Amino acid sequence: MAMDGFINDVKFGVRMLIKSPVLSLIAIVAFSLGIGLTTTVFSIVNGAMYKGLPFDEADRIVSVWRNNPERDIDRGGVTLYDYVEYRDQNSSLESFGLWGGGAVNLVGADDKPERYQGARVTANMFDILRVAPVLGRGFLPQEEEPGADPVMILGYEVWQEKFDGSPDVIGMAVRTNGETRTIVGVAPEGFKFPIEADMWTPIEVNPLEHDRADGPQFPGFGRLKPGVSVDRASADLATIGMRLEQEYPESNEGFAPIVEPFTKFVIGDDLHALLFTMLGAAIGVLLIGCANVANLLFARAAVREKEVAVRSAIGANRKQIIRQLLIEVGVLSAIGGAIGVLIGIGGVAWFNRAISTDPPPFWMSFDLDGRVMMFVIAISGLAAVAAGLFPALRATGKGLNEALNDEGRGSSSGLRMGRVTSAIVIGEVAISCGLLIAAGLMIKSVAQVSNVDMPFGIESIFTARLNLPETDYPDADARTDFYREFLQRLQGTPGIEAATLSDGLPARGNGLRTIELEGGEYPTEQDYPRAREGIVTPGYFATFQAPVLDGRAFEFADTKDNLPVALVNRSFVREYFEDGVGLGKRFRIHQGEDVYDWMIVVGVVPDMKMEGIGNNGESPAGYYVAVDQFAEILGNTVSVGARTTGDPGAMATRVRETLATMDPNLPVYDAMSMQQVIDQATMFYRVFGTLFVAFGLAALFLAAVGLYGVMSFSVSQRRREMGIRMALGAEEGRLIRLAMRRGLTQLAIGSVLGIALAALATRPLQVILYEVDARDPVIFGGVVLILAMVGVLASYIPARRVSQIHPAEALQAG
Amino acid sequence: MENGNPLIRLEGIQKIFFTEEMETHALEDIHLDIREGEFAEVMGPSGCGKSTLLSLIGLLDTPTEGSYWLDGEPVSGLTASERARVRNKHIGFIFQAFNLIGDLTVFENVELPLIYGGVEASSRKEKAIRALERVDMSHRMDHYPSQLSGGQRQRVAAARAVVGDPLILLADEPTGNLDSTNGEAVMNLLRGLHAEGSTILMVTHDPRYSAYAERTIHLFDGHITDEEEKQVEVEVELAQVSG
Repeated sequence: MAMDGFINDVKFGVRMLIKSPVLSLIAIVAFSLGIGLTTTVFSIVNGAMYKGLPFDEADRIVSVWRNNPERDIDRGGVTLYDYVEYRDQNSSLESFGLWGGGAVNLVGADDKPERYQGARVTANMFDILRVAPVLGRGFLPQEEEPGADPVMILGYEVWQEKFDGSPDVIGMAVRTNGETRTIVGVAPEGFKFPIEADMWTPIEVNPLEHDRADGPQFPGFGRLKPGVSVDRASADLATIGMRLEQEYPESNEGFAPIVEPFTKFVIGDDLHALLFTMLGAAIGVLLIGCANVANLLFARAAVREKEVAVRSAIGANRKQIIRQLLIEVGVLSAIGGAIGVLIGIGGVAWFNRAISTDPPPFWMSFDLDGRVMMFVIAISGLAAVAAGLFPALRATGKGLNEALNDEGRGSSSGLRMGRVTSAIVIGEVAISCGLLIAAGLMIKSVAQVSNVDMPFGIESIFTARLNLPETDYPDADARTDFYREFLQRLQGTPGIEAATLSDGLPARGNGLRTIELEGGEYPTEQDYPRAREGIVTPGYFATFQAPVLDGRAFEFADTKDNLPVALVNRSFVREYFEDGVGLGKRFRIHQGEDVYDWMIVVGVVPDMKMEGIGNNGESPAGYYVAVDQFAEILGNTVSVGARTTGDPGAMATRVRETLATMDPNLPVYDAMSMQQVIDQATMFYRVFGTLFVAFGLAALFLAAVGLYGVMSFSVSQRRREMGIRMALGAEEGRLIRLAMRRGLTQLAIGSVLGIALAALATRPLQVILYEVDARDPVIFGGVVLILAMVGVLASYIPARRVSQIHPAEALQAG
Repeated sequence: MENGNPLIRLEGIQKIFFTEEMETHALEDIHLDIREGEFAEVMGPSGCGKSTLLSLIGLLDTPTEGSYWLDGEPVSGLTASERARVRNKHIGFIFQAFNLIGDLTVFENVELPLIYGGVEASSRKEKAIRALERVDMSHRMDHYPSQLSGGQRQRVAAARAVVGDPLILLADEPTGNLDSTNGEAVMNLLRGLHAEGSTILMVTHDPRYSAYAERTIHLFDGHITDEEEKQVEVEVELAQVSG
């Protein structure tokens, strides 16, 4: 019987939907927009935070880091010494291992070098994750010991692409980073642990190779014993950490281990806050949609109160009537939910396309999975209840006798729309105001990102990266010789006007280094200044068309046999030299006592966004040193920059050919134009900014429709009153003002609340705002102005309409 | 037709409407019995409390004071939900304004009380068709109320009132919105239903239809001022109701 009644209610709901097409359309649009945006964002939140690792009992897999707040180390790696101690002494982890990143230059049977993301792991990786290779075997414990035969495991995708999925790959010898390794296994499809690895090699667990304070450090990972919580494991390892700190203060003082769910390190606190702010914003849009629908239903309840009374008179109890009214809204929200799913599919497809240049970790995938669909069903149901319950309660709250004996045309005399609809409108305006301010901040941010004025050339610049394996290029001299030779060959390559090698590209953010200015006094370590450092070859500023402002650029003569020289940027001069003159001044890298020589400033160059894009408030002050003089710091990976005469996209092949003339085992990777580099750097701002813009526009649209609908209904209820006033001689202007007064009051209160809401809620947006203050007064003021204009218009149109009807007609309208 | 035990008993019923500034005494000290199988009418001038009395008897409203027994059971202290159930099972309404639901077909309007009463679908259909046949409206069951004349709408309302075989039919000015021909036809319909055994309490201020009732209760300023019993000749002319 319950199902029977439900079907009848649904049938009636569909009939009512068809009977009131305008109301239905507005309600469906409101629900669709709200549910669609919420679904899109929840799919992103779900993919980023809730899917987790795709392994057996993945919630037991944890990361282990070492923190040292005094030294500003958050999520630092574990030394091999500490690893052995933690591994052997803990009582909370079933198994414990290490992982490390590292690019791999792979030369397979085809002799073609290619660059892959690799990972170095302890031999127990597959055991910890409970994953079995699809071919061959995992690592053996002895393969992480010093002197073991070098082996590797291939990722499924690399196996398919580079080795055609041949089973003969097992036992095959390949060259990786200049070293010959034997392939012993192939990982399952989609397995890319820890983040995006294509292949794995064992970490050599040999603590004794280094002193305790030195040596490599790796993130730890492990599997909790059954029933052991993350907190308990943290406490367990902390006990070991304290003992190590007491025993080895020189290496371990201030270090404390932390244990956390494995995937947590990818989503930092800022991103976490941002994702939930986004979800809140989307739910805000949905709430505005619900408020609109609720107001429409209040209006409809007024004309349906007699029907409700009849149902009650013939024996329907309140619950049955409320159920039927809710099912009617449910039909609308179900249709809105279905369209919302389509919007969600489109939104997620757009999001996936937008982030394709910088793919997320392997366990994150953004789609409408079962959890998202359950979410859609839940929010559709909640939206129906949110929009329909209050109107239904009001509709069923009127005295039966009164409603049944009302001869009229379904007038709403008994339904007090006043306070409730006022509260709904004020809430709607407040949420819209908050969302619009967020959207306004984002629009400004996206506009700034799109029009960011790069103080260097972007057009026709080819970029790529290059990694020299330590086995083939074991020391700084070997690397310096290679860089010098390769640069000269590049500069001689047809189609290249200028070329450079550097530790990074402009606007991608240079690292901070502690320095010491000659003559400066620094009583404590904290007093030493910090500036950004770039390590570049001659030709850097010419390639990026950044003119040297004073002095000279680097020359090939700036070698380690000559006086160490540096170039500083304008901000550096402004920040550190009171007399505004940089040339001739001396400073040095501060690291221990007199490790580095004094460098003399030989040139001043423009600010080239050394602080990176979007580091609001960070100082751009920085300096450049020559590759030849600082090859030890540079390491074995460099960026290539080349200004081309033609399409930079076509330059990759030529650069590869040039490189192959020197070392055929070296791949060129991350080949892209400088414009693509900038696009990649600004992707984060554009993607999240665009989402917020969508929220803002949807909120504005719904708020405008909602205000108009409520005002329209409100003044239509006052037709008779208006008629009486007209009959008494009121002028049109006075009537319009009278009709608008209530709407404008609601608008004013809602705006004030909205500003307060925005002031509280926009703070987490700061991470995705590009050079925009989260409390930008222009945006706050502008949004209030826009909302006021929309609100005035939405109030004026119905007010004017009702003021223009004939008094006799209005009086009859009763 | 032999009149039996009181189906409805009101004792000391009082109804006061409270507003912000004043209280209105709509009914005062009402003592009334309606016997099973009786056709009674309440007469009086406009504003005398007729409809209020009918609402109290129909459990659409609650008395300020006094006791009410329906079929021997006290009903004045029921909750809203319990009152809805009693209305559904035991009371049929015929309103002056018909009060059919415009978005439901004739059949669905008649079926609705059975749905709320939890009657199975197959049984509902049979009962609804039978009720429509009783008022000669089964041929219009797929129509909507807006496609019917006033008289036809009131017959559908009568079918809806009787579909659940209630203990009593309450008719509030059932001819008030009809012309004289249709008004008479509806009264004949009520007389026919009465002849078939229905207990009817009708409110009217039209003396033309006074002759149809066996007993007339006169109401004035919220008080029962007089009651008169009459002899009525019953003619069953259900099918004569004009469209």
